[in-house]
Amino acid sequence: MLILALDSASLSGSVSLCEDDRLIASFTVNTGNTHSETLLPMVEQVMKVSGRDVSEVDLFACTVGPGSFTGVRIGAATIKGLAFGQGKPCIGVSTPAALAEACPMRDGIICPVMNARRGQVYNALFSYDGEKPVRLCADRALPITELAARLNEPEYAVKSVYLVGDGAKMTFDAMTGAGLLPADRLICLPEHLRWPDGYCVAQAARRLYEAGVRTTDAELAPVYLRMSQAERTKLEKEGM
Amino acid sequence: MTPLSEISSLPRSLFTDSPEETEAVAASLARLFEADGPLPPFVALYGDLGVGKTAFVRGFASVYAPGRLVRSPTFALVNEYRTAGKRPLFHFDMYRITSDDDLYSMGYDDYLDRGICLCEWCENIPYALPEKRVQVVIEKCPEAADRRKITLCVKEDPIC
Repeated sequence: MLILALDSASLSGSVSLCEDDRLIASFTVNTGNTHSETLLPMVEQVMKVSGRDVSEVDLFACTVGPGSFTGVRIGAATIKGLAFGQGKPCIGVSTPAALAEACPMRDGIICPVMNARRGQVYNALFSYDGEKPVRLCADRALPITELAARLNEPEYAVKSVYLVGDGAKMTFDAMTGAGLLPADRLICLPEHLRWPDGYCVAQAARRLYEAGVRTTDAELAPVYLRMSQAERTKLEKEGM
Repeated sequence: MTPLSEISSLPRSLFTDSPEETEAVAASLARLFEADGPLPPFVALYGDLGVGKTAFVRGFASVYAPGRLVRSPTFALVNEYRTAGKRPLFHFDMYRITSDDDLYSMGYDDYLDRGICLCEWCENIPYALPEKRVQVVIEKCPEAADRRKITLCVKEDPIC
């Protein structure tokens, strides 16, 4: 099955073409440029160097958030358009789920963290079952202090925590700096594994496809995961 | 002699007597940006309607992005002024912004890392300002209709 997958949910952008779990070509940039200007040329290049045509793609996939508002919209609109044009299924992947795919470690807790600004991170927790990451909680936006509290709960308290995502370093510094979590429990994945990657999006989408998910272009929708006004007011009252 | 509107360092407080003079102060700030570099790339503008915030941005842009037409983006929320070889200049107007969700859905956060931001009506988004920023407060003066007091400083206080 030929899979074309992309991510543009944060500052970086990534496009990959895969045959099932084999990577054929990948194009990743972290230039700070606008995704609307770079994403489609990257798709074009990936198809060109692979000697394949978009009409051969069986499955389209992208990260659908949470993440940057404009980034998520650009990625979702691009993949919806490609899937609509070819009449093929397209599957949306949670950004933390795609990030979790990049973790080479098979022990401990995988903790994707994306900078959601104002002291918050987008996050979910995963652990590996054999070769696949298993979700331990829903995607959420929460303050780093609250994430630390969750990671100190009995079920996680003795395990290593692998930080991945553009907020990895920030979270590591905040948690160790304030003594929220001991530094020897926290491991930042290497820089090149911290950003969402097209290959990981493709593999997460492939698992969903194999589980029977068949989203159409019309059904694929961004997930912004913003806190409600009520939650924000509560946080403000608590002085967060 | 250095003109009255020429700023050589911050903080600084001065008076202007016309929109042109306000523009000149802003142009001087822009030159300070280009010369010094370490100024934070976010300029938070404060001041009432008609006080000269857009004139300030026009003056800044006349140095940083010359030839670009500067208008207040009250409805567009943000204007982008591009100049070859430089980071873009983003001109925000937060007059119509009432919540964090408004900010998120205009892509505010996405702009912060990508260029220099000049932001009108920062009164409306105190929770969303970068920790390090240049603060510009423009006030009317009772003694003359066109007189303005402009106070410029660098803020480094944590917001959240």
